[in-house]
Parts: sequence; C-alpha cells; structure tokens
Amino acid sequence: MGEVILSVRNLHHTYLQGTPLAREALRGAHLTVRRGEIAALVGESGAGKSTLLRFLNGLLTPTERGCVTILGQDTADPRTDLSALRRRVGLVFQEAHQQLLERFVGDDVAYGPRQLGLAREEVRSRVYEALRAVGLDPDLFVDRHTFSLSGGEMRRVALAGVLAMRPEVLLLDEATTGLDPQGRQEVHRLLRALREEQGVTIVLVSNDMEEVAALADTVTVLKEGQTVLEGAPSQVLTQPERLRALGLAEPPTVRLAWALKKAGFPLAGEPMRSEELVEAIWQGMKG
Amino acid sequence: MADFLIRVEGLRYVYGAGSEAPVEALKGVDLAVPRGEWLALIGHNGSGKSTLAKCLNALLLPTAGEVWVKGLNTRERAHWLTIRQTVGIVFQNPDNQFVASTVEEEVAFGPENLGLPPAVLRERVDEALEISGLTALRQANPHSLSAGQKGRLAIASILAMRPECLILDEATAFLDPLAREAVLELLGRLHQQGMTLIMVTHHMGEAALADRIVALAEGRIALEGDPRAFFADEAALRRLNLSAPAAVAVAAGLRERGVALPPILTERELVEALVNVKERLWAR
Repeated sequence: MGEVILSVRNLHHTYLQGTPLAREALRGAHLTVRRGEIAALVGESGAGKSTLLRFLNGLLTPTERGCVTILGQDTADPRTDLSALRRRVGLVFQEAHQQLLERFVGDDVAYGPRQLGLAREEVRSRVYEALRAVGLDPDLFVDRHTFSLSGGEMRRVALAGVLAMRPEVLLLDEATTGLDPQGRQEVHRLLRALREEQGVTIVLVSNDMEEVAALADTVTVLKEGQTVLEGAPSQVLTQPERLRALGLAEPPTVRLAWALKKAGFPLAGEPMRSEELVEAIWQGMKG
Repeated sequence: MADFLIRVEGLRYVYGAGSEAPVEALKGVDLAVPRGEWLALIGHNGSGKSTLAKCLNALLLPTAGEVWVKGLNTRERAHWLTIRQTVGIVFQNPDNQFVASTVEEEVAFGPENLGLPPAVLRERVDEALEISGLTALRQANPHSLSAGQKGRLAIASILAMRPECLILDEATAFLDPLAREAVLELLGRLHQQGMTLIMVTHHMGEAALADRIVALAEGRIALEGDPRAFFADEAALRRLNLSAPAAVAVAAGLRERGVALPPILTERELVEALVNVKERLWAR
C-alpha cells in the first residue's frame, strides 16, 4: 500500500465567517488518501464535499480547527509554497464551463503548460496528448471556439486542461456528471489508465453510486461537514439502510440484490456490480 | 386525432450559420408530443438533445423546418410569450438562471411578472417551495445553496409559472441520489396531474420511467418507442452505444447464460421473474 499523501484531520471551515451570512461547511472532516489510490468522496448535497476538495489543493487552507497535509506539506504553514503544490495537484471543478478561460480549445488546454514556461513544442505536444486522452480529436478541436462546445465536450476540455499539467494528484468534482454513458466509461478507463500507468492518485466527488462501485478503492461519506463512514466500496455501498440514513442511496445493483434476498431468493455475498449480481443469481439458481 | 401540445417538422438547426465553422446540431427532426405525455430524450453528448429542447420554447428558432406549440409557430414573435408560458425549461447549470437575492424571491420572479394578485402569488410560491423541499431555505441566497438545492430551486421557479409542459435539460444531473429520487417522485406526481414532461437525461433508469423514449444520434432521431420496446431492442442499443437500466442489464446477462426470462423493464419485474424461475426449479 502506498504512503499517505493527502491527510485531513478534524477540519472545520465556515464560509464568510464573522458576517451575518456565515455558513458552516465543514465541522470535523477526516480523509486519508494513499498514493495510487482512487478515493471517492460522497454525501448528500450540502455535505461539504466540494469544500473539502478545495482544501486538497490548497485553494482553501485551515483557518479554524484542523490540519491538512498535501504531499507531506502542512497547508497552514506559511513556509508552504501553495502555488507549487497546486501544480502537482490538479482540480477539475464541478462547473466545467467556469474553468474554460480562453476562446479556443487549444489555447485553453495550453493555458497551464504555458504558465509553467514550457517550450512551444512541448506545450503543443502536451495539448495534443491531453485532448487525445479525454477522447477529443486534437485536429478537430484545437481551433474550436470554447463556447460552441456541448456540455459534455466542455467537461472533457476542462479535464484536458488539468491533465496537460501532468499532476500527481487529480481532484475531480463530479467530473462525469453530464457525460453520456459512453463518455463516462471513457473517463473511467482514462482514470484507471492514469493510475495504472502513471501512478496518479485520484480523489473524486460523485453522486453516482454505480460509478463509485465501478471505480473507487475507498469511499468516504460526509454528512453535514463531518466524516461519518469510511471503507471499501464493498463495505460501504452494500449497507442500503445506513446509506439512506446518511442521505445517500445504494447503487441499483445493491438494491436489486436486497429485493431478491427479501423475496426469498437465495443470494450469496454482497454483489455490488452488475456482473457480480448476474454471477450470484446464477449460483443461486444452481444451488 | 391526438391532441399534440408540441409538433416538430423537418427541424434543422445550425450554430454559427454563415460563419467559417458552422455546426449542424439538428439535421431533420420530426416529433409530435401529445398533451400529458412523459417523454425522455436521450443520446450522446453533442447529439442535439439540448438544441432540440431549446427549439421547443422558441429560445432557438429553426434554421429550417417548423415547431408548433399549441398550434402556434415558434417563428412568430407575437407568440413567444404564450409559448414560453406554456413550455418551461429547467437547465443543467441553474446558476445561469438565478436573478434574485433570496430563494423565495427567485421563485416569485416568474409569476410576479405575470401580474398575479398577491394572494395567488403567495400560494404559488409556497406550493412550489413545498413540493421542491425548499421551504426551510426560503430566505437563503440562491448562490449560497449547494448544487442539489440549486437544481431543486430551478425546478421550483419554473413550476411557480404553472407551465403546461416542463422540459428538464439534465436537471437531475447534479442532484444527490435522494434528491434525485425526490425530483423523480415530484415529476411522477406532475405527470399524474396531466402535465406534459420532456426529460433530457443520460440516466437510463430515469428514461425507463417515461411513456416514450426518443434517442437522438448526430442530430436525427435514431430510435424511439415505449421503454419496454426500446430497451428490448438489444441490437439497436448496441449499435447506438446506449446502456440499459440495471434490471434490463442483469436480465440480459442471465439470458446470455441461458436463463429463460420474460421481458424485463423494472427491478420489481426482475425480482418476480427470478422468484418464479426459482420456484419452478424447486418444484422439480
């Protein structure tokens, strides 16, 4: 198992603190992510997922209680170079369209690498590589206007812009929301490849429990700004009653498995993915 | 003849027509939506779903072809107000449509502009907040809400206009699972009350709830039918690279292993069918 590279301990955060509009977003969040892991962050809306993600690349730093360590560096320590950290930890926002800064797709993806002061050729090759990685043909897309893109294409371009920075850690805030099922599969394949081939560590916020079941090594559940449940997807997602009490729902496959067991169908284990359920039903029929 | 709320004939739409790089989003769509129908519009990113939705309430006007809402052609500027009151759209990025500083004012904004008496306005706002579960947040600033809450607010502010047809352009995409269930339940109730619903979605479980599914591919209708027939056409689904709801996928996996199952659409149907199969096996 890899070393711990992201660590959040007892983190508290209040937006607009000291004003009448103060809103408590985090009140005791914990998170541990090891190198090379795909960690999922789930929770009902307003649970603090997106806020926590912003702490993981130093966009927010602890001002109240709590401690955040990224790649061995305490983000509250004034000696920590946060902009250097942000180059190693890329964040793809939920509102992808807000992340697109340039008129042309090629310039947008090149934005980060240019900031790094890379040579023209290197920038170009990174742009092409990143666009290909997200399933967009560079020759068709570099000269497209960013505003002419569909919602799904914008998400891919935003992701490409972060990948072009070659981050060690990738933070994704609902990166597949709004993508069609095929696009979602492509992004899943891409994330697995980044992890397998380049050892990239990934933290993803998702509302899609099927996605979490298919992709994640660990799941952290937030509720009202606190970490309330942690574990492997096979432990966390197979507890429908617990999940619903936390404002979440089980993946459809788990719901089906439960309904079958309740109806008296002999089903062994806790199938979480579709193939696993088919196998468990098949075994149940033979048995 | 059926009472069609919306009719679309030979609809083509080109973004940036006359520019260097025009993009043809719709390449000839024919569609008729009967009053009271729950229609799911699916298809890959860039297939033209959102463009079609925007053509249905005159936000976009056809490059070629015609769109009629209640018999009114969307090309006629004089009909726009009626058309937009008849067909309300809830978008994917709710932030783009918020104008007020509190949730309550946001919901009141639309009906206020209809010049309703204060008591009626109050009632509509209260009702819309209640059904969307936002009553407790009525004084909150829309921009301070979470993504899921924003999604529900966007629906509430359209509902307060009491449209005859509600179009949801991936409006459930950002909702957490329980909020999504709540919105779907709300849609079920609106459907029972006779509202026409058009739901643009990537979620096959959601599409299965509709009366009819229309799949777009590259600006044209590629497949349509009631959910049962639609998801039974496995060859077409594969060709169009569309996935199936969980129960349909599991049933398909079992059939591949030689298990004889009746047509399956819902989770309940799958459970019943499997319990039946098991009982027959036990009886032997």
